[in-house]
Amino acid sequence: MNESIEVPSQVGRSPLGHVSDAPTLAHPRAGAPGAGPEGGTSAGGAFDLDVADLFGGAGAGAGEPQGEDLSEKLRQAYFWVVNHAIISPHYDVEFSAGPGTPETSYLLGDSRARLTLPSEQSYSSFVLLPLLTFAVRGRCLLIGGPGRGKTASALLMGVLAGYPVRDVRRAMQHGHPQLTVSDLFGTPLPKDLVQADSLAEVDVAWRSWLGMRVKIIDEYNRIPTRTQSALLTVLADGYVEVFDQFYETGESAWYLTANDDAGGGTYQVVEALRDRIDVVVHALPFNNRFLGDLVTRAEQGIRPEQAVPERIVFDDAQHERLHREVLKVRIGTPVRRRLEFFASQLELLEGSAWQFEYRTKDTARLAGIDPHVLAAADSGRDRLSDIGSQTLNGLSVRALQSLVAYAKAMAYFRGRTTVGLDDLRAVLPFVLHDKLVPDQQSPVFDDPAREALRSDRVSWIRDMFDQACQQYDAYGLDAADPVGDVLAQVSAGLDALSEPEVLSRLAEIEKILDGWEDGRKLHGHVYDDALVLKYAHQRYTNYLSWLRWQR
Amino acid sequence: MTTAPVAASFPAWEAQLAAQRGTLNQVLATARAAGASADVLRTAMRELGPPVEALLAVLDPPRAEVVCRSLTELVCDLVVRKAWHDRSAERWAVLSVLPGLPRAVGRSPRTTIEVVVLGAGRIARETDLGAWGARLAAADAHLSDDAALRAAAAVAAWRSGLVRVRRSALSAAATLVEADDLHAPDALRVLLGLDDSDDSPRDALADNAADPFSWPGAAGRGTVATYGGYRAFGGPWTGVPVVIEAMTSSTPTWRVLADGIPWVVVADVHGHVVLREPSGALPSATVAPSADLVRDVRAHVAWEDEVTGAAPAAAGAGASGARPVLVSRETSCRLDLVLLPATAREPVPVGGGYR
Repeated sequence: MNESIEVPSQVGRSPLGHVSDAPTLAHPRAGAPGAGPEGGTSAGGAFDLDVADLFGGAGAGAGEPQGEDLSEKLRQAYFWVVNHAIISPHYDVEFSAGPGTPETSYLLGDSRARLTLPSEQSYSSFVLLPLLTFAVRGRCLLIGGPGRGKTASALLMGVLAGYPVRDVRRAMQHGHPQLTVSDLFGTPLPKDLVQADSLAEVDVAWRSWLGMRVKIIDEYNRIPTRTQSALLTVLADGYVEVFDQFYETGESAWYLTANDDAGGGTYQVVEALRDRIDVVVHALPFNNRFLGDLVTRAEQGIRPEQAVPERIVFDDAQHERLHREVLKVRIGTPVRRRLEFFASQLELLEGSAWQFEYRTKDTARLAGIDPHVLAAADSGRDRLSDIGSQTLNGLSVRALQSLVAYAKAMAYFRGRTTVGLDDLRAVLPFVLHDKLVPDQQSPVFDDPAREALRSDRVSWIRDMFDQACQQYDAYGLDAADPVGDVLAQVSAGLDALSEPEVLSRLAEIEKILDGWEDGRKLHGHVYDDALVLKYAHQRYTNYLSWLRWQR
Repeated sequence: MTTAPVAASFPAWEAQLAAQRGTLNQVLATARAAGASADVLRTAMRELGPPVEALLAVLDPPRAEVVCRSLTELVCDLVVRKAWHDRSAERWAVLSVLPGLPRAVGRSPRTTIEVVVLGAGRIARETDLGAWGARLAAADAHLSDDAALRAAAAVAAWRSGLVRVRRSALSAAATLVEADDLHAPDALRVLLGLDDSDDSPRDALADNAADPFSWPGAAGRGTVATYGGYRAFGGPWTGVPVVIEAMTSSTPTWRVLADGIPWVVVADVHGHVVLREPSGALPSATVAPSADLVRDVRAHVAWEDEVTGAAPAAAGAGASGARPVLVSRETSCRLDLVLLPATAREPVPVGGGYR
């Protein structure tokens, strides 16, 4: 024993006992039943600690892969990256502790720029989104000027997947104007090219990066268009084809970097490739107050990617399980309905067609007509409050799938089993960043207070979502959703429905539509609901015909 | 990079450093690359000398090599995590507890590190670390495997004040009692701090399982403990707390309102903890303590003050021998734990009242 070492002073002794009175637990432990007592004499056992929690062992999951809490591991990875690897003191993904917690904010400068101090743990998008991409094995585009850590961030994701730094560096594909399909994917063996009688006999020497769980394409907007098209296949469908030979790449997390995402770069990025990207993250500028950290790193030769702790590295099985667990996170009806409501506002363009189903921005776009021109002629709705008037396009199914996947990942990352509205709101601007095209001529942007939203796409999208949620609440759609009821009835199945019941349901649908006919504006959600009612009406009509034919 | 120089008075440690120079240099280099301060690393490696030397004196050479590597990795990890400083419980455990556990360290260095060093960091806020370390060291000779070490760590932590681990510690103690090991009774006796003249460990544990405030030598009546306190004097509150109600738990747990927010007090004979209630929800209704209960409490306390809340522990919290009642009063920031004679139990829940 070293007698000079005293017991740490934090371990105080109270007169009778041995315990510090300081509160220790800000939140219940993961897995604790509920967030605490709901009133009355509720279970106090939620405050119990377990041997395994404190001292490890089989019960704590040490050495037991199935027992390890991967969401905790993901958070540990996040904090390791922000504390040791990427200097990013930005907390732009903000969370609030709840309506009961006052939010502190300050208005700075002539522009009254609002600085909010979040009341709940908040995150840096530049580190968080790549990690969520890792969890859902999605496709992440890191954009920003040179030297802002885009490539370093992608490199770290490769190391988190358990690959040696050297392998990740070698596997990283660098875009350049001479990059060919063979350079990217592999070349046929010269011997086979000479001797083979058919393409089937040509063996291709595939590039090793294709089989990795993390794939990195640096400066993807410098890749020639033809090679981009080949890249599209592997990015979207997970296979590569060279000389009639196929290589299945399996599921993996993709990281692409670009200095400029607005048409710059050596080659214009093909739209289909851009559409395959799930999430876009900005590399925020370096905060010069942290120059000292840079100096220290340079002096000490610190290379964070070479020192990733083993305990935050995900092996193949853990990566697989991580993705599975993210998918298990549920989205409750209130959150899903708000997303549906928001998405429904974006596609409608009333003046683009006569046929009801074709009254969309896509119809105008396919006809080569600027949706803005048609939208400007629409005098039916208040253009300032109509969210749809701010965009030139709607959301694709792929975009919605990405949104759901990342919202689940966000909730999982925060240790939740269901997606909250704040989880969805947090990831939404990054997922829709390149998927929603703003109508820069929309009168919404003419308001001096909102002019900055022309360039701040993240805030613009988040603002639209907030507006949509407010409108959803104003309509009281949580409390009364007759179209939802109709859809639920249809989803329950039509088997064994009697003719009077079918007729009653048809009458109900017609009654709802009848109620909308007089004076109600055709807003995006009404348009979607009308199509749903038509769909339900058709299902019942066809079923009725079949019933009558059977008699 | 070279390993930090160590004092010449630790020949065994120095010999190990020289023998494992390549491996240990790599460990240190990795720590440096992860942001560990060179100065702190150097200090940590120097400080590691005395405990390692003490361990090497009793370990076989093959075990010594593994132990040195494990400890170097541990220290580097702690330095990287900025957990190597004067107030660090982990550092204290490395320097003060590990040398007292030669049997455990020699058997399974990594498990011992996990249990003792990382465990110390986890329990530091709620237990008497010094007593915990001393109990573990005293029991080391009697612990035959890693499972016994973990169980012993839990039992020692509970006995040293970590009340929230009580249920788990009682189960762990039962495994030690049931272990087919000649040393188990000795291990339990030193872990529990029982003298030879006291009850057998088995009886003491059985009594405590039935009555959380029962222990050989513990007071059986009256005010046996006070909890909480004014913040300026090290307590958690600036205002006067009011006991609201007892909560259902195997360990006595009460809900208390102080400074406008709900708190939870968990207590037994060995320790207590005051926690902020995670939900933060204020109780919807309160019930004033019954006049009979207030009268019983007044008969067992030395003060004359207005009782603002009083609640006997819930039925699930044992207390078959006496009625533990948590009492708040008008002019004190501290709560009194009063043991009343066992009678017909008060109906549960029994709420206190706050005004």
